[in-house]
Order: sequence, then C-alpha cells, then structure tokens
Amino acid sequence: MSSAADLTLSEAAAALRSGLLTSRALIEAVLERIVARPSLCAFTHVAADALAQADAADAHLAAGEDPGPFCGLPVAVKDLIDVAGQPSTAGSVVLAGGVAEKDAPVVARLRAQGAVLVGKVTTYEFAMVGPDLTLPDPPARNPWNPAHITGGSSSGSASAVAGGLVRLALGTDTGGSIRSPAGYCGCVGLKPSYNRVSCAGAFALSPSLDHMGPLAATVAEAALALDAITEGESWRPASALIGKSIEGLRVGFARSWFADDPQASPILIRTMDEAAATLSMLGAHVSLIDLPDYRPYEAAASVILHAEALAEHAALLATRQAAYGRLTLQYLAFGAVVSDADLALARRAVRPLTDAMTVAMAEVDMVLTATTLGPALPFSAFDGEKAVWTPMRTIAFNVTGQPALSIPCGFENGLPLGMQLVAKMGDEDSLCRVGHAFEQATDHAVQRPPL
Amino acid sequence: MTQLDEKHFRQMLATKGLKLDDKTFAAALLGAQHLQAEVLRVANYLEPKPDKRT
Repeated sequence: MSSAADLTLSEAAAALRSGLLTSRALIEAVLERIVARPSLCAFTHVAADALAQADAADAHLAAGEDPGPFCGLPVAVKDLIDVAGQPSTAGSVVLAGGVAEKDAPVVARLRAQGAVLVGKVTTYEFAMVGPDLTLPDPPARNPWNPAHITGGSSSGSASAVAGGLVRLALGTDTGGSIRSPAGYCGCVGLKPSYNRVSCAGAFALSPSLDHMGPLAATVAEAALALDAITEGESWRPASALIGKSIEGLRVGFARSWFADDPQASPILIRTMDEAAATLSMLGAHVSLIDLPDYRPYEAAASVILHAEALAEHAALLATRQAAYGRLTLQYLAFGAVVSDADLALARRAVRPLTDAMTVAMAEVDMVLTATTLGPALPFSAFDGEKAVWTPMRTIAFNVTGQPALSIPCGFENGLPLGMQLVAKMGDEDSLCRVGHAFEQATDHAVQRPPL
Repeated sequence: MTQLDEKHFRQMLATKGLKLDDKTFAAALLGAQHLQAEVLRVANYLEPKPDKRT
C-alpha cells in the first residue's frame, strides 16, 4: 500500500479508530493525489478547510466521540450539489462566483457523521450535455486514457474515483449520469430507488427523474455511502447483505436488450456473457429474460426531461441566457416543442411502463444488462457544435425509479466496460450483495489506470 | 403531426424567450424534431392495442 488514499473506506475507518491513522494524514494523502493528477481535471474546487475538517474529526475520535462511520473520511461532491462555504456553479458560467450558503441535506448527513468534504468535482453544465469543449473550464478526463471522455454528467465524480483521488464521490443521475460515467471510467455507480436519497440542495434537471447517489471504488463502499445518505428509516440498509452467498438468487440476463442493438460492441457482448457465466458459477440462477422495448422508456423520459429542464431554467434564461454554453442552450431549446399536453401524455405513460417492467421482472430477483453499449468515445468525436449521444441502457430505470448498479466488468482497447444490475424498488441490499460477489470473484475492481 | 419547420420552431423559441444563433438553431431544430417524434412514440405506446385473442 503506497498511500493512505488507497485504503478502502472501511479500512481507513478502522485505522482511524485504532489510532494507526489520523484523518489529517488521510486527507493529506488525498490532497497530494489531487495535486499530483491535475490532468484528470476532476476537481473544480479543493476545500481550503479540508485539513481543519480532518483535525476536527481527529479531535472527536480522540475524545472518544464517534459521530458516525464517515468520521474523518474524505468525500468529493459533484458541483451540482451544495456544500456550505464551497463554490456551487453547476459547471456553468451562469452561476460563476456562487457559493453555497448551506449544505444539501445529503451533504449535511455526511457532515454530521464527520465526513471531510474535500471539494467539488466537475459536472457537465447543469448536468445536461457534454463534453462541451467550448466552455471555459476543461472537461474531466478518463483516467484510463485522457484522450477519451468520462461520460457524464457526473464526470468529475467518476474521474476522481477511478483516478484514485478519492474513494467516494456524490453524483446525480437523471438518465444515467451516475452509471454511465462509472461504466466508462471503471468504478462503481449506484443509482438508488427514487426518493431514497433527497435531491434537495442540488440544481434540479428533471425532478421526476432526478436521483442522487454514490460513485465509489467498490460496491461495499458505495453501499456504505448509500446507507449514510438514505432519507428516512423505511429502507433496508444497502450494505446489510454484503458478503452473503448469492446462491439461489434469480438473475435475469437481459441480453437481447443490448446485444440486438447494432451499436453494441462485440467485445461488450462477450464481456457481458462472461459476467453472466461468473454469476452462474457463483450459484445464482441465471436465465435469459426479455425486457419491454427500451424505446418507449427513452421516449417518455426524453419528453419529461426536456420539458422539466426548460421549466427549471426559465428564470435564469430570462436574465442570463447569454452566459449559457452552446450545447446546453441547444439542449434546453428542444424542450420548447413540448406542449403541456405532450408532457401530460409522457407522464401518463410512466405507470404502464413501470407496470410492464414489473411484470417482466416478476420471476427474477434482479436483471443483468449492459450499462453502455461500448467504451468511452474519444474527445475527437465531439466537435462542440452539436450534442453527441452515446448509447446506454440506463434511462428506463429513471422512469421506473428502480435501483441500478453499474460495476466494472472488463475492458475494450484499454478502456473499461460496465455492467448494470437492476433490482426491484428498495432492493439495494440484493444489488450490492450480487455486485460485491461479482467483484470478489473477478479482478475488475482492483485494476488501476496507468497514472 | 407534421414535421416541425423552422418558422414554427422560431415561434416556439420566442414564446420561451430563447434566442439562438444560427448554428445553435440548426442543431436545436434537429433535436426538437426528434423530440416531437418521441412524443408520437409515447402516444403510440399508450394507444389501446387490439386484443390478440380475438
């Protein structure tokens, strides 16, 4: 182990409590990493009081007080989510100079547990579209190959975790913005059940579809983080079943959902087949499953998302339109064609779409499918004039609100690929159980980029 | 639904107070046309399907 920054959150927590490590030493190691790897462009702000926060955590532990499992542990936060006293720009010139007055509830929960909020990480502008190479701040880069994108919009979160700067970063996911960058960068991304984590204090993109959750180095760390930020007491802990056998769990392999798409890369298809075989060898009952046609999910989500996004930005557009990035403005403009009746129509589709997915998954505990249909594209594929959409299989679960976990499952040309596990509402414990078992049975989670 | 044309799209943008330069407008028009097609797809999804048993 070369640096305390490489300790898992559980290892670091144990070391802090046994006196083998101080939070100050841990945060110093993290800050050294951030300084040493600026080319990732993952951080937009490093907290000036990070070491003071660490000292406070050390003082708590030295006094025999233990505010919670995150005491003294570093967390990075997507620059869409408010952290008191830190810049909050949503990646946009529109909000440049803005500093959050108070913590988002999710941040407040972590702070109350003694977490050290080390800084803010890059986001696509207002979590919409990217990378936009015409914006003043550079986009985050893929740690596995800096000539490639990270995916987004939680771009800095994925780059920071996969690049070894932090073990945990918060992100948001409206159509795949946690899971696709996690897949492209080779880390874990957990989109929780809808409403499990409060999205207050984050700049909303589409409140009907917005989710907040962790990007982490391992499934166990993502589960630990989710348990720390879950709202209310009615949810089963995500980490409760970590380490349990997955024997007998029923996994539906939605192979046709991605493999029948001509955009799916042959290597991804083979890698997914290997992942299904691994789960089978671990004792899961893996069977092929047909999920409903993806396109109506994508269509309903697109209509809702664009209409709600335009409504969220109406006030800012009235006064600060010239400061928006070209791609973001373009993206918002799509929503002008959505009438109230169109939006009502799309919202009416949510129930039957959700019911159809429930019926399709009735005989399984969870679904295995791809996160994206291939590895991250190079920056050269983006000319800055118009948005380029990368094919994914994520937004359906923003419509249904089901929890979904992206975990690394292989590589194509040196770039990570992600697989996605999707469970029923509230079943994050099962997702993390299977994800962790897969991680333990393979070496994907221990691969590190050549930084 | 007929395909959205430039004039109609400009009117829609004006209603929302959006002013786009020519390049952005051209790309936005394509995206808006696609989104209209998505509305049709949703409408089609919600249309009652004939009962295959009869």
